[in-house]
Amino acid sequence: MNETVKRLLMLQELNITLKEAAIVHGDDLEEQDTTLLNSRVAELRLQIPPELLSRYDRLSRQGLAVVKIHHGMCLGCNIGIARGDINRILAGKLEPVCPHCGKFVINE
Amino acid sequence: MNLSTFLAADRIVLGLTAATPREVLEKLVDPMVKADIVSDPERFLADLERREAEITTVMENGVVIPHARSNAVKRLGLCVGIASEPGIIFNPEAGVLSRLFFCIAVPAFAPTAHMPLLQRLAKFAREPQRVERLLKSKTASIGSRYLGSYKG
Repeated sequence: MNETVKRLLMLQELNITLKEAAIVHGDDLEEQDTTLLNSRVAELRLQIPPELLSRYDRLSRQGLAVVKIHHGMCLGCNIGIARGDINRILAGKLEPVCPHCGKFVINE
Repeated sequence: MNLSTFLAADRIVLGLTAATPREVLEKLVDPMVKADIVSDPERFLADLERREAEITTVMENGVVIPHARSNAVKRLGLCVGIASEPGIIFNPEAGVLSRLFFCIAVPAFAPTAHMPLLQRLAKFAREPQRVERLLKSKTASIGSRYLGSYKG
């Protein structure tokens, strides 16, 4: 599961990069410029279970879908996550999702 | 978002000269290290180069907005570089000489915090008269005040 969240984080990074490129290049951005990034997005999406991918897509529509845990706090909602829950997430015994905001969390 | 928040005069580098793209980035990152925005310059420079390799940040008109999310960044930061004429080739594939650089440091824990700043700077960069005026800044303070007053 944690591997899947890492893939979701990579997917999110690529999607942010594509948005940045659209801002920087505007109308000058051509399809061929983003071909490589888009193919990496497509490749990653194939490696993620459909139910998690659809949850990711739903969360992405409202901002970040994958956020970090920093000093025990979810950076999506800025609410602390119980140490025991973080340990269970790290051990793969609990779904890596913030119990408060529902975003995917990654501990770094 | 107010650009002046990010623009202390020491974050404007006038007369930027560099033999390589790496040197450009080093000179833009250095003021952010001194301002305690970047904790590990080598790591941030590597992240900037990796990001540039994904898709260039050189605009059609030569303005460059190098930026990267990095664990070596403590908070959102900006450094502006103004190169002397004729300019610097930052990315050979883009094939344009660049005189204006906006380097953005993005903390990894807030990966989209820079989007409004990026939008504002990209909009500024698309206005040739404003770019020209910024390039003519005689001092860093003048450049900082001029860019900081941009409300577009």
